[in-house]
Amino acid sequence: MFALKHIKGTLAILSEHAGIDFNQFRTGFLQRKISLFATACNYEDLGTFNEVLIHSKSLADRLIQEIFPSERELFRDADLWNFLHQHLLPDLLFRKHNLQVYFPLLLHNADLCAFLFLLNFKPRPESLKITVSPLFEKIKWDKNAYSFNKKEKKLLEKHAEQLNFTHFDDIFSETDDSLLLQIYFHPNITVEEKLESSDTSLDLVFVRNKLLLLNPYAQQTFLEEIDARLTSGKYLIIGAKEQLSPNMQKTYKSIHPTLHIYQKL
Amino acid sequence: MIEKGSRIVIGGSAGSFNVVLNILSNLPKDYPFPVILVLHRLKHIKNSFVDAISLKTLLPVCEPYDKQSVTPGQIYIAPANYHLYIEPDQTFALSVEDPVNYSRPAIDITFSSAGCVWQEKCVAVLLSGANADGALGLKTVKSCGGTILVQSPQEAIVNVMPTAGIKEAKPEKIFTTPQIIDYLLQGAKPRDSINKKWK
Repeated sequence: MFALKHIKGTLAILSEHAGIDFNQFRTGFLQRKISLFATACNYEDLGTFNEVLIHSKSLADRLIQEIFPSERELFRDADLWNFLHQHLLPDLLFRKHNLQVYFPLLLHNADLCAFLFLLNFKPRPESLKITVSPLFEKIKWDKNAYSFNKKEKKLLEKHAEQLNFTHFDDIFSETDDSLLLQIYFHPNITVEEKLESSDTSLDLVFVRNKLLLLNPYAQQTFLEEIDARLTSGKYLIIGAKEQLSPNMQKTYKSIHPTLHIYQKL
Repeated sequence: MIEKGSRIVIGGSAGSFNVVLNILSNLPKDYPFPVILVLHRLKHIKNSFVDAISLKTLLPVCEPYDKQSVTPGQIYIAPANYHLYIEPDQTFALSVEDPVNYSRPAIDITFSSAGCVWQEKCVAVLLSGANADGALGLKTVKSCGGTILVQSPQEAIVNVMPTAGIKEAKPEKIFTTPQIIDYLLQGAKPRDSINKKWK
């Protein structure tokens, strides 16, 4: 494994390339991923690798995709989506007809994940807008990167035109917006054009297995941001092996034994 | 002799479960080292694994949460469907990256990160299994100054994993299960074993 001081040079290049603040991520994780990638590309020293990386956008893109794990498992978790459709969404829609769903996303495949989110969301909206970080604008949807099943292909053909992306970069300006994707779904699909960071409240937040990547300080900051935007009765979904902060453990209750869905008290 | 402050990491797959139970049943209640288990299993098999192992050991057993600290005298089992890393700050890091060697958790990942972080304090044990996962990790542990123990392929129920480990990491000695237990008990008071029969 390459030394951390050399890894920092690689991260500086990637930051320049993609605008990501890698200081939020766990150092050991980054060190391992970059070391494995450079070694697999047959570079024995990171200095040489970095010299190539500076001039190769495609290499940087590949490395970024290598660093961030795939999102697809979330969308094929039938238990989670069934619980959402049967319990969470009816509860939320009973109380409020304009839902604001927050779905932080890793850098690549943002539009693909937004589409899969749409496919899983019932009742399926008649029209929608999806708001994403400006960084996602750079990312092209590679349909070959995901293996669609027959049902998904059919829905893709039917609904692909509905995807209408708009950009903003305000809501989580205190943290790294490269990590975040905002999706707002409403039964009638009207989308607020702009949300001010200080008074945005959210109804449902997906952060499953995203906290794993963050360092403890960034995780704490991130959870505080989320907590400030979830009001009483609203829902937060985290991963099986992720934990709420000690303060949040007192103000959220688990509503499912295995899906790790929490409701704010 | 195991150094003070060592950390034990055990990897195994097919045929390793009874060996793991044998090892753990012989560790005393005040065993001074943490023991981390990375065992291949079906992803839907969850807490029953913890329960089954808890029945055979005096040490507390758990699946660690992300960012949890590594504590001596505790047995940790890599959770199903997550890779388990050791971070430089001595905490666990879990990951949902793609499987490695068709496995998640992958032994290679835990061995490699443990070796890099703990260096000469890392003791890696590779047991029976049906693929080559763990072999490269074992090599990393050795190159970082750690100690490697490989179960004898003659003794292993499935010898692919230990054979690959021997080929890749070239350990100085091959261990039978009783020898692994004796090694791990160095520096610890042996338990008044209720499970001598396992030996």
